[in-house]
Amino acid sequence: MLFNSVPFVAFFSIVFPLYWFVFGHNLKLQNAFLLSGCYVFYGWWNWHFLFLLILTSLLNYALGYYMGKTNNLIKKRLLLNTGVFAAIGSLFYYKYTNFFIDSFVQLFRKFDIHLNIHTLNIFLPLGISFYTFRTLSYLFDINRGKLKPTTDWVAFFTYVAFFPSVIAGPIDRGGTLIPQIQKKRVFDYAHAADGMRQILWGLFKKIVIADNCASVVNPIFNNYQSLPASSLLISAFFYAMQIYADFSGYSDIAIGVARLLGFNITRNFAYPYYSQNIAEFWRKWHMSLTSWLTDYIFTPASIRFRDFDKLGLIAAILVTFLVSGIWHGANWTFVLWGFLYGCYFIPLILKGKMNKKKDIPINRSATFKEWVNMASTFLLVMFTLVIFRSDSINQAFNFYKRLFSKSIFAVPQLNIDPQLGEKTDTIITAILIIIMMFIEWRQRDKQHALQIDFVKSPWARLCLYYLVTFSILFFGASKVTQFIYFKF
Amino acid sequence: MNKMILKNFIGKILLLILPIIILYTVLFYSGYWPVLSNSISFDAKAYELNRINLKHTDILAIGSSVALNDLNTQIIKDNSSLSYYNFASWNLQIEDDYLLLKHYVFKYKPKYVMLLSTMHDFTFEPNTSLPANLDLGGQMLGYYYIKNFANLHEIIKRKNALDLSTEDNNRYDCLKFDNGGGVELQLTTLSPKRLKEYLGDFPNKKNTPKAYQSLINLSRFLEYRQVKLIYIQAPYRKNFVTSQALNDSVNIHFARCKFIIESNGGTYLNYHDFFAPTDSVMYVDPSHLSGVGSKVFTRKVMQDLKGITN
Repeated sequence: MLFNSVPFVAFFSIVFPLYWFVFGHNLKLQNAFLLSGCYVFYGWWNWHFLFLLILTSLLNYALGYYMGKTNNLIKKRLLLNTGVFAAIGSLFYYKYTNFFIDSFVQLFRKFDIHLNIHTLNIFLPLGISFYTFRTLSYLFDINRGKLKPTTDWVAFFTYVAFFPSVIAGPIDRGGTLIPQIQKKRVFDYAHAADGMRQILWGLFKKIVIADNCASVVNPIFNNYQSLPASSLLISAFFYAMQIYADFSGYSDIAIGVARLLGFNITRNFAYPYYSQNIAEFWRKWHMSLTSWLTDYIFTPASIRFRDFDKLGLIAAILVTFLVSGIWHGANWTFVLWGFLYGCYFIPLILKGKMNKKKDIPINRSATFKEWVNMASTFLLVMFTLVIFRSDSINQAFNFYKRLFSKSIFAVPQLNIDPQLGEKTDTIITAILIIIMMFIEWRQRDKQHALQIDFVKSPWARLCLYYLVTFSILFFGASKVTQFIYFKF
Repeated sequence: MNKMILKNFIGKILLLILPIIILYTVLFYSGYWPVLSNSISFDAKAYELNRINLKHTDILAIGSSVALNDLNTQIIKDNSSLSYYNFASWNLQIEDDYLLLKHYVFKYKPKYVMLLSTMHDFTFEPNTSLPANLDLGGQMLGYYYIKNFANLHEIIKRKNALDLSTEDNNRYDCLKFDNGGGVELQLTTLSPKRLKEYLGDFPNKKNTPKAYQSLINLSRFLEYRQVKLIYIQAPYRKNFVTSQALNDSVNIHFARCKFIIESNGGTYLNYHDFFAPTDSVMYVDPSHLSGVGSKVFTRKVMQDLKGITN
């Protein structure tokens, strides 16, 4: 069920009034209803994998419960390891089996040994990377004494399957979401209205920016060998915009939907393309994943390597970003992508600039140096994303080879596939990107770009909502497409 | 109190949505219908079916533009007591025909399916935008604004293109349907570019094998449903097939289609060389017949079908 699809609108139009009007007076009933809603939402895609989700919830609930009961550290450790093993095992099986089989066969082929091992027909359960990280954080936090295990199984199962974020995050921690599930929720008009605004902005980013960018990017990436470098450069730029608008748009909708149900879930993006260095970029991009990796990979690793000073920090960063890369997908492109990000941190670590916050206050404009920093960080991200978008490392290198060639000065060829769009569509999309970036720049101190409380006149606010709505209706891409992060 | 706030919130949301619903209602009644697929021709046929609210047809014709233009409705109706409707639209591939027939056979319950085809129907990728539109019912058109979201810019563009295509029959992209869903091309001037069109790479490794498999599936499906399949190879001008090698491939194609159709209880008719090479008045381009050509051709087809459809 895509957020921008008819089934979701129908689903939510039923869930929302029932949730507040019928079950709102009784928290237990409301939570039970919410849990069934979560399972309908997840099972709509593939009900077979609903059992895996329930099984994962059951296992982690039991492990958490017994971890809370015991004071024996060895037993606690054993329970934690069981959870970690089960989570990694499940991820490995569903996501990485074919990747390893394939890599293994390729490796032996290099030595002229032809193995007769075939990849398996495994279907990737939707959102597995997200809900696995969610359950892992629950167990880690219990182990560290940061979180008391819950005895309310409905709350825990709802936490794992929470429908606004089960498919593609944000990755909420148990300490953030479980207490909210257990506490009586009261409908707050301002909170819900802000949720609606955030949904509207998310839809704008997804339907107008991301989906239109896709129709420019896909044909160019599919035919990059026969196109001039200038076209490739444009597609790299549009892809950077596409992935940002797609994923942050999805997160905005998820947060907005959660707000309508009375929840505050983790923020996932904080205008990352205005970052002045890579460290700042990662603090603002996919924030829930970054903080997860920081807490459970980077921090323990940097403690373990602390004797090696800056070298230890570099090793910890490299390990963290390799995990991040592998988490993103079963392909060497993701591993390389993660490794490169780890490398980009090295100069910052050596200069001791990794943790320096550089937010530009809203009351002043950026200096020339700050603009240069922002532009160079964006370019670095943009060029690295080529690897993320490519099907193989070989394709990525060929793309770079062509990109950095003399044809960069040629007139770009844009309407590769006339069925997908005309040249004017690309220009319109570029203008819409500029508008989006400008609005987000002006609103960079807010949680989302449509937080326009400073506009005092309700009529003026209404006009702005309609302006966004009509730009979706007028410029939105004419095809229902999947959110990019669904496949991770 | 809480419920009052909630009702107020829902009321305001509905009020906000209302102008959008009004806008789309106005668009609908002004003829700016939802975009159903990436094919103007398929959409035009769907709108037409929606308008005439067709419930049943005895003879169901299907295929690409060749079937749309070459089968003359009036001749078929004059020569048969059975009801007839032409569901063809531009560029439908055999895989598309199979997909549509799986739906149409249940909906329109035909006794005969007339598949008029040429090599082009075995050449290209199937149209992936069609499956989302198979359930298009009599009263459901407005729902497709939401189901197949298309922006207003696209809707307006589509309406303008459709208005042009339905203006008159003196254009290659004419979509002015007659009462049997066919389109008669009455062109006063022929395009030199179109006259030079020829069959390209055929068969191709990518799509042709899949098309044959679809033809097998389609024939078996119709046989199972006890619907008689009449496969007709459309006529084409000699310059459509440019080389001896291509001509050999085309002959193999004919034999293969004949075998598939006849081994699954269907009837195979081949009219590829029906018109003499000098009969240029019969064609508007090397593979599509003119109004005159379609009449002569359909008359012959109906004569040949006399023993089959009775």
